[in-house]
Amino acid sequence: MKNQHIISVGGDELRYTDAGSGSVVLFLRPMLNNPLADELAVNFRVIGVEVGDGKAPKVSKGLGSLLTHLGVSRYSLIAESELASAALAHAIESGDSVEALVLIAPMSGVSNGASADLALEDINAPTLVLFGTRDQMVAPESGRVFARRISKCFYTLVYDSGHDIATDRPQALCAVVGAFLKHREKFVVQHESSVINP
Amino acid sequence: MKASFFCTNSYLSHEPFEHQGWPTPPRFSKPDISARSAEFALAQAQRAEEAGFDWIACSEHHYMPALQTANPTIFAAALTRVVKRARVAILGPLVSMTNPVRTAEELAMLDQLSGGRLVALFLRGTPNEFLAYGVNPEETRARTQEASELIVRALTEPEPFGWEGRYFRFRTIAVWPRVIQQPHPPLFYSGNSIESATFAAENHFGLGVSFYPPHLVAQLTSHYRNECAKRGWRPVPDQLIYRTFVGVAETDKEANQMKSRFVGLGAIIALTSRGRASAVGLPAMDLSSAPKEVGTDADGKNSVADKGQAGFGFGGLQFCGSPDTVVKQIAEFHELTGVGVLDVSFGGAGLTPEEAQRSFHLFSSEVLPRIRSIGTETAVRAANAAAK
Repeated sequence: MKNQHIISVGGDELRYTDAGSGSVVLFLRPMLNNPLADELAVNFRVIGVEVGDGKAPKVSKGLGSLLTHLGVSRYSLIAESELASAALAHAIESGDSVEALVLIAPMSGVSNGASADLALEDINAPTLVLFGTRDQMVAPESGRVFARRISKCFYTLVYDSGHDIATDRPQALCAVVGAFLKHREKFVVQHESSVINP
Repeated sequence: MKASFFCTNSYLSHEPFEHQGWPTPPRFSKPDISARSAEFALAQAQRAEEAGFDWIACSEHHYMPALQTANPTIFAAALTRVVKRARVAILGPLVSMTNPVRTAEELAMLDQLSGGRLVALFLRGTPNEFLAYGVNPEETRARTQEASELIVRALTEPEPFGWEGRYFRFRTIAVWPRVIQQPHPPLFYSGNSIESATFAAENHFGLGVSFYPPHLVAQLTSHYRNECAKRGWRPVPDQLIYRTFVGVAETDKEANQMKSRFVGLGAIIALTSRGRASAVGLPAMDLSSAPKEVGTDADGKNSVADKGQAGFGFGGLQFCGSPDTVVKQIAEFHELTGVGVLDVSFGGAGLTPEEAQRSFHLFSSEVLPRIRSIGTETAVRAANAAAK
């Protein structure tokens, strides 16, 4: 795969991609191939990290080593589905290093109490939490828990999408994530002009 | 069975009705007549409540004197002040062309102002109306569906949220006040097509059918109930509304004379297909006969099967006769369709104001009390049959 790299972390191989330039976006995925990452790489430096089974301690250790290796100290973090737990744990551990957090259809155990011990209140980074309105894997209403516990949470529903938002509504996903990474909290402001004929 | 009074807020002078085409130029609207029309409509709503109607209804329409309720929530807000017991029913806002978050906010306010008596139905609109706010007619079905889902979310979400839709994007939604009726007021979807009836079932909306003849209403309600059953729920009769015209006279003979002269909304809609509205391709309407199959909600075209048989079901005086006859007709209609709420209008082109008033009076005093038990009897019979 283009731009694919491998580093050794504690005897294990950690595979990652590094594409684009600009602010760093760390994208946790079970597999490296990802259309959203490709799209975001137009405007950001996207480091896609293959995190395998997504077990939080292992992921966090691997990410720490990778970031040191790359000399990256501040970054945005994106995770989908089951990898959200690892991303949340990393965001809590890493404090201000994580400038923005994006959770796409998170199956984090937060809503059902399985991850009640996660100190979400410690997350200071603006956090975008996305759910498809037709998600059958995890109720979209789970986003309310994040909205209540993370001070700068932006809980957003993607209309007519199931759990795999990247497949069901790819343009919508790129649009909202791209705007959030670019503007952070100010993505709620309409930046595009509504003038029809100046 | 329940009855809803469709309060049209019609302009009380014939002059603008003689204009051929849509929109009707605002120059026809005289301030004094306009003010009198609104006062008359609100007084009419009050009388309907006193006469025992269960709901007082209004709906959104644009640029025409027959239905001066361009913003039905404003009119409904006025209704909440004069109608003290009956439900206030917006049947409905044209959600294909308005801001759905604004609509949700307005519905929430109306539920508050009415003390939890709001009923709402989501409408797509007619093709001429799409010109009012410049929406693409081809997109209105999908816009209506998305808007309806967004409105429900906006009414029920306890946390601020964003919406990334196909037609609507809002990054911050947090509707205040919350609705009094939890989780939300009774909601309906316009179901004049098979597709819309399916959508209503999918989303647990009640179904609103308008003007079609009984056998086509039955086709739609039957399809709707089947689709509900597939999804594991069963609508109650109150979740089936039918909007129509009613003509009641002392005798069948007198009523039939009214029927022969009645042209109802058909004439008005036919006029709306002229003028600028012709640009959106309203189908030719045969006002002399009822449609033979269901079309789509907004344009009277049936993309699946119809090559001219469908159309708007404006019909005529669907229920017409002496009080005894009308009670019988409504009972048979209920048996056929399962509809539990009749949303009725008594006016229409071709009738004198006195005839419309007499219809209203006879319906209120001699029909309404006798149709109350219709659904109940059916329910009992059905229950007995099921028990056997």
